Amino acid sequence: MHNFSYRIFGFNKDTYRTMLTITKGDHHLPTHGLTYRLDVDLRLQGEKTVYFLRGENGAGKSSFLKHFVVPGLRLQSTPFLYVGQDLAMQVYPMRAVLGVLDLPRSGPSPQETVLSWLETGSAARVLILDEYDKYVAEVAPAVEKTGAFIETLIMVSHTAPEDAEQTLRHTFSHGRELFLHKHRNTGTSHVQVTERVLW
Amino acid sequence: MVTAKIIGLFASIILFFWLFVFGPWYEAATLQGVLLGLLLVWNTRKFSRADTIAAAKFLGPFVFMLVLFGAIFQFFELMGRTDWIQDSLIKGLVFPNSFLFLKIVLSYITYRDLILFPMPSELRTTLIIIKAALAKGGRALRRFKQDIEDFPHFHGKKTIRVRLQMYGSLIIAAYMFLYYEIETITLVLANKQRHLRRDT
Repeated sequence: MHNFSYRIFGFNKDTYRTMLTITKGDHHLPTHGLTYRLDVDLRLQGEKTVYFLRGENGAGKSSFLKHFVVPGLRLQSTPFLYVGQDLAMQVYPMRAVLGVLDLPRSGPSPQETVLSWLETGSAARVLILDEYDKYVAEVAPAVEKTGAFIETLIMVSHTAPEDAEQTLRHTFSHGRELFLHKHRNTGTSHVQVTERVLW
Repeated sequence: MVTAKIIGLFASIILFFWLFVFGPWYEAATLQGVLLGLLLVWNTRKFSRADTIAAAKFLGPFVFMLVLFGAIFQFFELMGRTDWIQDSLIKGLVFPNSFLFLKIVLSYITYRDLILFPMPSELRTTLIIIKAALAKGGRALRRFKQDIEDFPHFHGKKTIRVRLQMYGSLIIAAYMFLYYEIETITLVLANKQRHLRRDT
């Protein structure tokens, strides 16, 4: 795990309101040649909030999720569902878990498997979808399956943001954008992380 | 050159097993302990620290069970023996040593070696498939383990039942993955053998 330490995560007394706090400052990811820069503490809210993680290709969106958000959630034992970009790989443990626990499955395809897996993860409070629409045409069924129990949705998507926003406004009371802007320097690239309220 | 390399590697394996597993140094606990330390360092240098930690996590439960059963047998003085604990402690060193030595030495055999080494074509294909599948399987296993541990159903539960469910899921996931990968690798390899022309 890269540059992963207690000091980059704040401790949340009320995990219902704030799912995860990543403290302000520079957070290095040397294996990827990236340094994420936060001017203020990043508090990922609960209470039905959706975050759109945006930025140009190669800005480090997936790395940010994989190396900061996911380890942070693990560290503070917040149950979460994470669908990574490599869904083709992830379906194997998903199918195995559904089979071993004898949980309901809607069908054998990867799309059906992931929906069954999401539906049965009702203990989760955070859902992370990293380029989910690369494999599945629409995000709406995933939101329908998890909307009742997910408090925070973080998604990376390359489809038109307006379409996704319209679908998600019905389920999530708050919408925010996390924009990752990469400044290329020699050696390490700095990625400025900024937050914007959408609704 | 390749033939000499392969023969050398297999000779080292035979020598290792002759000396440390079936031979004179089997019961030399201090030597086995030093060897374990050297193999862990070698593994870290050859692969990575994460790989060594993963190997230790994989081997840990087996070693623990060996020592545990040794202690139980010792307590009951099974079959009138009083050296169970000593015997199991030695096995607890010999087993990880053998595993690590084989893992490291076999990793020196490259795909190029398999292609150049004189052997029947079918055996070559099988060995290439096994090597490719094992390489992919090792990486996948770590990933699957993390995915399964993260599944909310298992969250915060550490009962034996849950652990067995997690291990069961891991084995099934790895089996399905390897089954699919071996099928794909076999098809790709057969296709390449059929259509690629050999320049002479």
